[in-house]
Formats: sequence, C-alpha cells, structure tokens
Amino acid sequence: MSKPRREQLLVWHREMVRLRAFEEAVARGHRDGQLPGLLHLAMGGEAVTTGLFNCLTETDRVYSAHRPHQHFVASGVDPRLVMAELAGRETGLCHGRAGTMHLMSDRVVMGTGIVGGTISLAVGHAVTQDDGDVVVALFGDGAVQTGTFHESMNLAALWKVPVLFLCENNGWAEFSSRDEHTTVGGVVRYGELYNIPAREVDGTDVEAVVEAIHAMLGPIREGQGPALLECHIARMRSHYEGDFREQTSDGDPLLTIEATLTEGLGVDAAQLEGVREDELARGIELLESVLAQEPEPDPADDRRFLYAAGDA
Amino acid sequence: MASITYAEAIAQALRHALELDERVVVFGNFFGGITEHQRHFNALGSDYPDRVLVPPWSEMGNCGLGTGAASVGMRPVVDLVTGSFVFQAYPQVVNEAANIEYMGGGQTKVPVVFHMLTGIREAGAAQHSHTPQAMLWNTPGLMLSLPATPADAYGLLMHALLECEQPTAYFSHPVLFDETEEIDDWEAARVPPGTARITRDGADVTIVATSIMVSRAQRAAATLAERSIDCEIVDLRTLVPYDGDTVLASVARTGRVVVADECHRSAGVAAEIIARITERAADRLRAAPRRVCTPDVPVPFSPPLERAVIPDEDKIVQAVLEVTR
Repeated sequence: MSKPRREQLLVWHREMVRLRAFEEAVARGHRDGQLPGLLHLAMGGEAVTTGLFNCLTETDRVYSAHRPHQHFVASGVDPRLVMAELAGRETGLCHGRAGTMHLMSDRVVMGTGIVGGTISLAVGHAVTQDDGDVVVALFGDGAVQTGTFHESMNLAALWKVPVLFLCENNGWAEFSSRDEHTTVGGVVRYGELYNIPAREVDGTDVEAVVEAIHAMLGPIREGQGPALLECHIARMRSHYEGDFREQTSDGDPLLTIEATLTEGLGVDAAQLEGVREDELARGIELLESVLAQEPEPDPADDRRFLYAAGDA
Repeated sequence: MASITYAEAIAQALRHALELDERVVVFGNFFGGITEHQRHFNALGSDYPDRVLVPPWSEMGNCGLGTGAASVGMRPVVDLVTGSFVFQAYPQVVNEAANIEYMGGGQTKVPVVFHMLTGIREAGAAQHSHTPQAMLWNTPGLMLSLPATPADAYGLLMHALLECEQPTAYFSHPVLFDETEEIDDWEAARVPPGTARITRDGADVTIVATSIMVSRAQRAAATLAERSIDCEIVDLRTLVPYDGDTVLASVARTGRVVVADECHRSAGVAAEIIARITERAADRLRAAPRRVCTPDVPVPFSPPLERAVIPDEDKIVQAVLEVTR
C-alpha cells in the first residue's frame, strides 16, 4: 500500500460510492419502468468489489454471476456501456442482447443467469492463463449447493489451476436463508476438504478484503494452486428489484468505511456526504442521458451475432 | 360462477391432490415465480408444512429426489421454477426418470412431475426464456403436458399427480398466469391426456397450437374472420400422448394447416407435427403447411428485439394468409 492510509481509504470510499450510486440509478430506472428485466443488485458488496480490483493486474480475469453490474463498472468498463446494456440499447456493452445478468467484456469475462453457471468456466479459462495470471471465480453462497462448485474445486485442486474461488456470502440463496439450504456453517470449510487454502473475511471492511486477497493471490501466482475466500457481505436489497419478500441482511460497507474515516482519521462527515451526493447525481445523469440518447436495436437485426442461421 | 386464473388453477390442483392422496409431496414451491400469484403457493406451503418442502437450489439433486421418491411409491412434483433450469437437471430427468420403467422391464414406475415455467416472458433473455418441450419430446419415456387454459392447467396437473404412471414434464407459461376462466365443476376439468380440444370450429384452415400459442391463435382467427377466412383451432394440450386423430380429422376437413408452438424452429415441436401430418395425410393438403415458432436465435434481452422474435398473432395471421392464398 503506497498511499498513506487516510488517502487510500478516501480513494476506496469514492470508488465504493461510485458503484453504489450506479446501482441506485439502476434501481430508479427500474422503478420508473425504464430498465426491463429481472434486476439483481449488488448493494452491500462494494467493499469486496473495490478491494478485489485493487489487487488484480490488467491480465487477471474475473467471472461474475447474477449480480454483475458493479463488477463490470469496477473493472474499468465505461459505465455508460453497462447502463446502455441494462436499457437494452444497441450501443450497450453487448448490443442489447445480454441485459442485466449476461454482461460480457474483457477483464470481467461474463456474468450468468444461472446459479453456479460460471464457476467451471473460470477454471477452464485459468488452465490457459500465462504463468502468474489468475482467474477469479465470483459466486454466491447459493451456488455452493450446485454440483459444478464441487466439480470445479476438485479439479482445480487436483491440477493446481490458478483460480481464486471468491464467495460473496450474503446469507441468502435467492429466497432461502443459509440455514434453510445447508447444514455446512461456512463455505470456507470446503477448503480443508479439497486441500485448498481457505480464509473468511468481513466483506464489509475493504482493508480486510484487500489484505486477504493480496495474501491469497501470491501463492496462486507462484503456481501453488487455487484458493478459496469467503467474504461475508450484506444483501441490502431483496433477491430482485420489486420483490415483495424484503429478504435482506445488514452490514452496509459504506457505513463501515465512513466510520473509519470520520472516527479514526479525522475526515469531516460533510466531505463524505458530498462524495455521495456527487456520485449519485452522476449516476442519475448517466441514466437519463442513456435513456434519452442511446438507440434501440433494429428489430430486423435479430440474427446479428449468430454464426450461422440454423433455420435458413 | 368462480373466475379462476391460470396460476390459481395450478395452486388448486396442488391443493386438491394433497387433500386426496397422501402420497403427493411437493419439492420446491415457486410455481408463481416472481408474480403476485406466488401468494397462492405460499398459502399452500403454510397449510402443508410437512408435504410442501423447499429444497436448496440444486436442480439435479432435486429432480433425482423426486424420481427416487416416486420409484418407491410417492407421487412427487418437483418445481424447477424456470424452464431453462431443467438443463441443470438433465441427467436425472432425461437419463434416469425417463428410462427407469423401460430399462427395468416395467418393474418400477416413476410417477414424478417436473414443473417448469417456460417461454418468452419479457426480458428473460437467452438464459430464462426457453421452451424445452421439443428437447424433452426427443426423450422417450416422458409425458408432456402444455396447458393453454386455467381448466387444463388444473385438469392436466391433477392427472399427472393422481393418475399418471409415467414421469411428466408439465409446462406452464408465466404470460398465461392472468388468463381467467369460469370453473365451477373441478371434477369436469379433469381431462385425460392425449385428447386434443377443438377450441374454434372453422372450414378454411386448421391451426394446431400448444400452450401460449392457443390464445394467440384465437386472436389471429378473430382478425382473419374479418377477412372471411374461417380458422379451426386445435389445442393439443399434451404432446405425449399425441392426439393425431383429432389433428388429422381437422386437416382432412380444411386441407390447410398452420402449426404454432413457441419452441425454436429447427427440430421443434411444429416441425414434428408437420412431419406427422404429411406422413399420414399429404394427399389431403391443398397447400404446403406453415409453422409459426421462435426463430433460431437465442432470445434477446432488448425489448424491441424480443418482440421481433416472439411468434405472435400477427405471424399466425401471415402464415394463414400464405396457406390460403
């Protein structure tokens, strides 16, 4: 960590606020009926996402899951491309074909609409990586109850594949609380079973996240095989936007970092509030600008990106 | 008269089956998906806490669970929620459940029901919009039910839960959830599978339809009636068993046929039905058959693109105009 702690935390705070504000704008667009589809927001995961990208190189790769928006924005993708995709526009990241869950790009390779859908893809990507590069498989605790999690962990351990299995455990698998879907207390426990180094960390604390990921990436880059990190985070929104169930969990990472900054490091609360207002205004401006300016796809173009027309 | 929604009819079938047969058990309870209709199923879960069980999101294990329980005398229904999720469970549905009775020389029956919400549903995109009926029709050993109306949603599920001796893939459609029908006599709604229903008599052209395509065909027929084209609509209700006699009799009367199903076009349900018609009644056809289905494109997210690929009533109208030209 090159910057003094106070300066570094202020940078991370702004980044976390930027990710939050992007999704606040998404939530507003959905509430107003302007962003279609079933939207799963990642509010509560900002410290993990910010900490993760702080630790990765440009050639490392990440696979996301069904709450992917913040991962893509944090990776450096132009937020305008992500917002345009969420609006289904031709100029979106995937030309409007993907939408919310199926975003694809370069550093974050893809999200998925299927629980557990990308874990094995990350392992496949990682076996082709150059020495020293890492692929991060991001998934939720619900995905641990799918077969591909176990198949992927087993193979990655066996072949010493350079993967960081990073579980964002928000305490909910869609509509089921963790107690309702497993007797295994912590995801971290699978590390011992598969002989993979494993840790768990408070995912609302960006400094703890950065420390843990840095420590785990070293041996992976050296070719010692995969690792498993369980980050405990909050699901601040229900499973999907508009869900009547209101199944959420506590632990806002913004409050955590703001408490550190104001209580221990002498930062003025009004300054942090200014960052929040500033980023939220940017998010809303982006939403409105995308909705007003980005073009819809041409319906006649529905076959574009198909290699061959199977029904010619 | 009681006006019942399609979603409510599914919940009522589950309730009646639980009341009537203690072997019935429900694994998974999100039949209503993300709609407000889910409240009917939540109520069912509260009323039968020991027989309506919600397993983890482990589709393959859950379908094996239902198959195994069925093989020893239970009558389970496994709720896969979204139809696209059946792909997570293919080994247990296609290679275990469908094969057990045949491979065992009839020793063991597996009367399990796999429920899935299928079809294009508004921005479900490529991974939540599948209509897997064609893929599962290519699997000998499965009954396939595709109710188009509330009464059939009830009747076909009751048959699958209480009487059927084979594994059943039961396809509901979220776009049909709000459809209503007057149902007074639940007993009368219990139709045997393999009996197609003529929902509209007509002399000029036969439209064979499944699931969501039946109501689209009704709207197309109303439009075509204004142009003096008289459509007959055959709602197949089940693909296995397949009521070829009703289809052929209708085609023999009209001499023209359009087949409408929401599957992708290639090797789809419509393709198979047209093959069956032409194998047995080519001499009765006065025009080449037409199919109305989803083009071979992963279902796009963007609303204008999605609208372009939906096989809607306008496309049925176009197809009918082509076969009656």
